Amino acid sequence: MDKLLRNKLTILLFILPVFLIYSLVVPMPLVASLTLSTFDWNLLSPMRFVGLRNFINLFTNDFILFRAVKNTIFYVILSILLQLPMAFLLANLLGGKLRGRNLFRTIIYMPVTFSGVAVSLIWYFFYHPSVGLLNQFIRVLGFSEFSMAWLGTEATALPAVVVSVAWQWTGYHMIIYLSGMTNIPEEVIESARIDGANGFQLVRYIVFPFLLPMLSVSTILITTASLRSFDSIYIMTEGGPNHATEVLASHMYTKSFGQLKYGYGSAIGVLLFVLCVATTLLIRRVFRYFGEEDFER
Amino acid sequence: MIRKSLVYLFLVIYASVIILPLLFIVASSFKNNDEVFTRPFSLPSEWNFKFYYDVWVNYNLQRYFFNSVYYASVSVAAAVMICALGAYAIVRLKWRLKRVAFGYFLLGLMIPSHALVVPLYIMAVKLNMNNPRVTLILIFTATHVTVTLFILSAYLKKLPQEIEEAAVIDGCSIAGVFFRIVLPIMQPAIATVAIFSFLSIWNDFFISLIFIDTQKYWNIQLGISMFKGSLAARYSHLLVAIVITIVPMITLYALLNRRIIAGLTAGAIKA
Repeated sequence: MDKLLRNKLTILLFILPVFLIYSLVVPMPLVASLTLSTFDWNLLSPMRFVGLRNFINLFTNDFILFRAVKNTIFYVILSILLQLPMAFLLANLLGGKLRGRNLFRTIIYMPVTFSGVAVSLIWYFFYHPSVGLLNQFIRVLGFSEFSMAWLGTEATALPAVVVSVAWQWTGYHMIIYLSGMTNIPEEVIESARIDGANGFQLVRYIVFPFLLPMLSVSTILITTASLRSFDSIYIMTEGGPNHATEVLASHMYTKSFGQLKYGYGSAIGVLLFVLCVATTLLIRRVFRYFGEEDFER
Repeated sequence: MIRKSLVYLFLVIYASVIILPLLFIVASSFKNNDEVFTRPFSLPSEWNFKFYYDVWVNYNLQRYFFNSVYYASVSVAAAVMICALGAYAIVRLKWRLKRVAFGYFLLGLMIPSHALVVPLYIMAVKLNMNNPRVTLILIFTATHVTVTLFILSAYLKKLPQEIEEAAVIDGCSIAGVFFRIVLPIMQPAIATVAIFSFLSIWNDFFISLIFIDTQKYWNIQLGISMFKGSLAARYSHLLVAIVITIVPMITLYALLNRRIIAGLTAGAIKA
């Protein structure tokens, strides 16, 4: 048996297909992106090495990038604020033995299965200035002066997009917490009850610390997904009005595939990659720090 | 008692926020353009299937729908096959670099596709890949390797090795062990990861937008997005397109919701 499992040819045949396909499409292009980001190239003219100039231009000459970074940060923070507390609350309400909890869970999770494009179109229609449900509703209530072009106004466009994304994904994080809550031993909750803990104390001192790893996972997921976010912006606003909803991904798309500045586009791609890695590590750090503190208490 | 009613009230309101817009979309999809505007909250005066025929046949959503089925099923099958082989190599076979290799595959978790698409696009252009199908399937397969490999090897690691050992003693080859024993017992994990990958490829917009230039190769997401772009203001068509995309998802979800939830969250917890 051992001899068979150590056979070099067998090992090669088993690992090679996945190794080749993955390497060709993921690590190699990543390295190519890093290289490409130091060139100026539109595929037609010869490549021109520019060193770090793309990155320097990114931060000094590109006012759209500045807005995109600002908007992306706003997008990340608002997404966390809208989704995490609501998901945590829903998980706590639906974690017990409430009647009909499965029906509620099923309904709340449902939009997760929809595509970003479909959800964006639903909300595009919902926000539509003349036929949209939101404005129609406002008019029916008699506040027609408050009806507006939600996605066409600089102040409301980005929050409107982030709300639609939260509508889709809150159920996802709720399920993550619910699956974490099944790991809390019955006895712990029982004994806390006997000691006279009320509902709030139970959540604060037992459920919350137990769920810290899940909260960490879902914070990372929301953050990286928001950093990458493209579909909702592209469908609902195309980065407008006046770049009020421009995010890193949409800017990267426009630069590379709209204006054919492949080197510059790669530089934004690399920036996104660095941000994803950095925020993931940072969030892990922060949660580990707080987790230990909670543990020692 | 009061607390309980408040909880229910809150949950019912929240669930309505999810459901009501969907019902509104479905009801409105049967109305014509004027009625969408003039009688937004009522049921349609006549149930009009004309727009469904229009969108499905005349605007050819049927083609994009089946393109998507094709891309997603071929890519998932390919990813599952190569990753099952890979998982066996990493979990069962004995070689020195396997931990390093596993870490190398996990790197994919951290890499957004935005950092890959430009070189991939240039590669596709330079290699003169005229048929975006091949390019797309290759990209979808490879970008789902990390998740698939992770879930399959985690599952395989938990399975006892005795049956495989017994089969080898009875004269079975390693290939035989893999195809006759390992692959069949991995089925639950394969189902989980297949659901995850299928949905994620089905819902893809970013990669498809970049790599598909010819309309006949569009996937369903590009297909429905056209009703916002060039065909904006045809609200009835837009609504019908939305319904056609989400109704299969809702049906599938109603039938398989436990499986789907398990599949989609398994893809997340590993992060």
